[in-house]
Amino acid sequence: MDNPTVAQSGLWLLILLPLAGALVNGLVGRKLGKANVALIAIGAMVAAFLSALVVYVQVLAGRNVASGGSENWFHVLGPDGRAMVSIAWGLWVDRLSGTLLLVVTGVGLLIHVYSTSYMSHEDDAGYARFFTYLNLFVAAMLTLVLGDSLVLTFVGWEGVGLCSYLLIGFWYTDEQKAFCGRKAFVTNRIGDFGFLIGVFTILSIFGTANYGQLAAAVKGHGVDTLLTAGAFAGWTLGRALTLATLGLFVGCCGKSAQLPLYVWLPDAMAGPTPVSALIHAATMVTAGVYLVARTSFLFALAPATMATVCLVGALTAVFAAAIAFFQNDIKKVLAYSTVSQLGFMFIGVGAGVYFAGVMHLVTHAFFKACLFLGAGSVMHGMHEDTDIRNMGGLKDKMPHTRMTFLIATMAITGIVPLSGFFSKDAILAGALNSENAAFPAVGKIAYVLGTIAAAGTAFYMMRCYFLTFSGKPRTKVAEHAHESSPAMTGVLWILAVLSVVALLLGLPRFEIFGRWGEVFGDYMHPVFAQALGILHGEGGEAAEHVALWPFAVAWGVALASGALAWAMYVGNLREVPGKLARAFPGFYRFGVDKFRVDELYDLFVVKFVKNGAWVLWKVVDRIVIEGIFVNGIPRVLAGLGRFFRLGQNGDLQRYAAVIAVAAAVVLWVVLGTGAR
Amino acid sequence: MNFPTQDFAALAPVGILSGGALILLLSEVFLASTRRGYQASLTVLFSILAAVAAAGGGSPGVIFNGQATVDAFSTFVTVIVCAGLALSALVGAGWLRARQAERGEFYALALFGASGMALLGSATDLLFAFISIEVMSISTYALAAYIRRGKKPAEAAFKYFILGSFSSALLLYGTALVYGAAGSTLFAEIGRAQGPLLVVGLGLVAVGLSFKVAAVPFHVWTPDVYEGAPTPVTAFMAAGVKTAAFAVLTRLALVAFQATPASAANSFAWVLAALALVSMLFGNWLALTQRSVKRMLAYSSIAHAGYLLVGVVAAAAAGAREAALSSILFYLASYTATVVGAFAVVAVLERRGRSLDEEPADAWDLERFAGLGRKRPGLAFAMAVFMVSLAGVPPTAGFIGKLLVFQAAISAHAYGLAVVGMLTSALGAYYYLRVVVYMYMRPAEDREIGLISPAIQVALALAVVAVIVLGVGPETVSKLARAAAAIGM
Amino acid sequence: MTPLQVYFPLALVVIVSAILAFLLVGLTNLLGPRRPSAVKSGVFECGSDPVGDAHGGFGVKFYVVALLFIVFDIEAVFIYPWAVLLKELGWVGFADMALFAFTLVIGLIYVWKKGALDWE
Repeated sequence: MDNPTVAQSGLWLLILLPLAGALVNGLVGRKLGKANVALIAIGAMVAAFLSALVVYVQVLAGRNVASGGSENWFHVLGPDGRAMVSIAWGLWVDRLSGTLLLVVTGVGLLIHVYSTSYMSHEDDAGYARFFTYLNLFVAAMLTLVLGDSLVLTFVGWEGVGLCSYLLIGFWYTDEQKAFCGRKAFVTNRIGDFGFLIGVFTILSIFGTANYGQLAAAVKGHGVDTLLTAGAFAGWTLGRALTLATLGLFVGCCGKSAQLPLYVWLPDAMAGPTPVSALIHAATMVTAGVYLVARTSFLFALAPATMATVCLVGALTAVFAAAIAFFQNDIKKVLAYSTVSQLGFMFIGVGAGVYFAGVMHLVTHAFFKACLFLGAGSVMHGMHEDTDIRNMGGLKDKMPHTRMTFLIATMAITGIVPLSGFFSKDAILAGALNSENAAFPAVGKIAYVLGTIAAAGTAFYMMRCYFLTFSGKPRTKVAEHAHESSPAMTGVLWILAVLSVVALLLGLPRFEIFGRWGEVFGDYMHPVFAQALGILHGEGGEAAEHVALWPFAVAWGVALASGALAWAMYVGNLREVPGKLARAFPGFYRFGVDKFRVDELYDLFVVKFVKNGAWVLWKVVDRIVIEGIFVNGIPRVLAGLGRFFRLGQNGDLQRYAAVIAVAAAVVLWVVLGTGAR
Repeated sequence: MNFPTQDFAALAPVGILSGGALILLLSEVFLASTRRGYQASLTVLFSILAAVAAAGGGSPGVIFNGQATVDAFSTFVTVIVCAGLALSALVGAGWLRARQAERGEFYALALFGASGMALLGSATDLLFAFISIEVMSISTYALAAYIRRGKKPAEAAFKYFILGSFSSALLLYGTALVYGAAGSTLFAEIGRAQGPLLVVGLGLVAVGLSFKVAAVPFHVWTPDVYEGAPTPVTAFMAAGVKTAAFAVLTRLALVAFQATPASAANSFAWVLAALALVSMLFGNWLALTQRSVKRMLAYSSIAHAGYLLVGVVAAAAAGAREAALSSILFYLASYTATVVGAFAVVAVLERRGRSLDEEPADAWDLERFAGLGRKRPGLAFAMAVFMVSLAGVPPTAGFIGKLLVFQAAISAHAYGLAVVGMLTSALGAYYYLRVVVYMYMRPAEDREIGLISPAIQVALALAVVAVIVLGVGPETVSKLARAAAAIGM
Repeated sequence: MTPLQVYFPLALVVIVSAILAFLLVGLTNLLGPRRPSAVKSGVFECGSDPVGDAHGGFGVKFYVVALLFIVFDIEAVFIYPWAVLLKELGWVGFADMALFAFTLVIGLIYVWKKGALDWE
């Protein structure tokens, strides 16, 4: 199976298979019945996963797989002979996109399996619609990951955005849920606008958006290279790239739910839980991290952007963790935790420890998918109740769910030796050792903030676990909770095992681990070599962060705050949370209201836009556009059309006369101007 | 004198087409039975064979002492014509069968017409071109009257015939004048002559060809004929006649653009530019007010003639010639696939009277499309693809075609034409998308689902695939078009 | 030869035909007896009534025969000059004409089998 052409043809198959599944289910799914719908959807996913494995064998063998790429879809040359627009269909798999490929198809497959049971209460049409969207999402996500240019990535980027919108508002008859979908969509559009600015800037700097060509274009150039052509002639490369990468990062903020555009993600929990697991935890929301990693060689040339990425990530990590303290909805807790973990990933890619960011992406995909699916299982048991205050004592009722949830919680908390510990620590230690060329202190600040956020994570995740599973049932429903079907628990176990096993990727570079030390970092090195070369000088390496104390700190922090959570929600300090809430009622409300960020946006952004839009609607749209352009022009044109139709009365003689007169005019013109 | 085997071999596609026509003619009298399904298949087979012969036959260059040139350009045109013929034949099979009017003559006439079109693609002599045009036209006149009963087809055919003869007369008169000025009707010779006689002669020839391509103001016949003719025939006319006429117009324009003195060449470019301009404007304007989809498509075909003329005008600038010619060829290919598909949907949906003589006034009304998205999602999707392609929206063939044409116009510094082209395309989107709106956003008025015919479905599927493939991966075809743009002058 | 001399034979044909035309019409006018009747004063339309409804029925058979006549008439027109030049054209010319005739034969078979030659 290590024939490269097989892998190449498999590349398009990867996208086409889920797409075909979506088409079939979308067109005739309603009539097929649930079993067939599930068969088609899962069949497509299995096939995609197998193709991904075939492709990945090539990647493991050290070969990158490309398909298309040279074929231009279209190419518009600007006045200076360079491409103004250059769009190609090409797919590209290297170690980075290959890894993502496995995560997307693998986790995607598991969640498809889980959903067959989870969504079984839907009617046939809803069931088919759900799997249609889910397959469509996978196709779009694979386009995003496999695309070999920013443009194709953007196609996938918009595609996943659409699917996200459709799935958040899956139960669209509930107005609140439909509204959540809209909120996600609109917030993402704001980010996409930045993405587009980034793409256009890059196109006008380099005349291409293809990753390989971009990498080749910046090779050997420093921050100070002067641009000689295009709209940015006269700028230095660094300055132009700062603009471009900042644009891209705004897109990442939207898609990956970073400050200040994170607000949509918690609301995205309105969708079915498997969707939250697949889209809003494991795959789509990590697209921003992927994009930064993919274009690392551009970001590395823009230190200011790197610093921004790092800081935004760190602030988001702390901020989201703080909000998560006050949440009582199990899915909301997990949502804010996702936002916070995404912040960690951005610290990683922003501080130049790209591999750590990507590694956290992978491990997070496992344990967060596990957590969300566990939450879904709990919700099933609790008859769709999501308030953790109503739960408690589920550990005996739902043993499988409880065990897997515990494993995943320990992983995200950063308890040794689970995978989350190593990936998170790799990020924090990397940040501590990083030296941003423009703002040297950023790494340290990110480390401090990150450590605080890690402590917060340990606390609120443990709180969530204890409130849900420990103690005694607090409601009738919780007393009668039941374990979910094997299709669900089986998937939970696979993910739980994966979140433990993934630790192998992230062992630090210590003597005792031998060649297993930082295996993932070494594996990813070719992908990021160019960026690292820019950051640390040609041929240079990141400083070896083998100091022990950051590990100790991280471990201690996780244990301490986990223990605190145990004490406050299970142990002797059970009175403390209530007392605290009573002691600072204002602050508590503030926290429960998610620091009122939505209200802030409502006041300053939404109201402003609404009022502006009202004016635009009444004045510009109604009078100018609708009155003059939309209705006016067609009216004039239709009038003219009626006038000209007078000549089209079906009368043969008149037709002949028209032709004769026109011919005479033509002859007169050619004779008059041409024959002298 | 040696036997010009090569010359005949180069015309093998034409031989296949006209031989096929004869076979179908005989099949009708010898094998006539109620089952005529094989006739459409045979027609498709012959068109495929002709296309293969054209594509595989190499390029022997000038044949018949310069009267015709078989080159990549003519090959490209022949293949487009064959594709248009095959698709139209499939549409015709379903449409005619539903009316119990399927006869071998229909296919024979179409094949004869196609052979004329294929000849026209390689014509480099005015007389040769004239004869090819007549072969093509007389077949299409007869096809337009194919459904003899009912007033509309007869009226359409009659108008087409009278006005077509009129334009042929102008063309012939122009040819005579050109001969008087140049002493030859070969394109190669015409290029060397000069004088007012030549200019007037070429002007008349241009008028005659403008009639065939349906450029404003020589378009007057188009709406009535397109609407009145049987729908598959309309598809064939829109695809084949336009392609062939543009092929010869392009070759001739290249001659005219090299005419001396330069002012004469310029005046031709100006005339063609003016025709392009008014065709784009009027075609789109008049299409706006149509409620009959078939008539709307007729006006849209006029507008598309305008866009194609933009390409011809762009070929006047030496620097943009290759781009312009390849854009015309690509546009023709994409337009053929799209328009045959669109007429196929019209053919499926058109309302029939209780008898062949009865012609409902609303046979092609927009209302026929209401709710199609629910009633027949596949059909509605196909129509949506065609409409989007005609409007020039990515990722369809129509978009790439327009892009290439306007790009050529810009590199020929014909900015005005390019801008008008883009603006009128935007205008066009209105009436194309109106069909889509009717299909998906209006409730169905009745439960009629139109004709169900496997042949038409095959044609539709092929056309949809072609439109999307040309739109998504145009590189292969546009490479061929670029290769074909190198016309040996 | 001046251009005028080139066209002299043509001019001769024009002049002779004009004289002939005038001669024929003039002579009949001069010499012919005149006994007009209602039928004779009517416009000659191949025996059909010249005045009446233009949409009136006309046997379509006439058209068919006329069309067939024209087809073979044209064939004859083609064949005459071809026959004159046959030696020069050689086998190529022969093949061309054979193809042409063959096509016409197929056409003839077609109309025959279609029954276009049967009057009833």
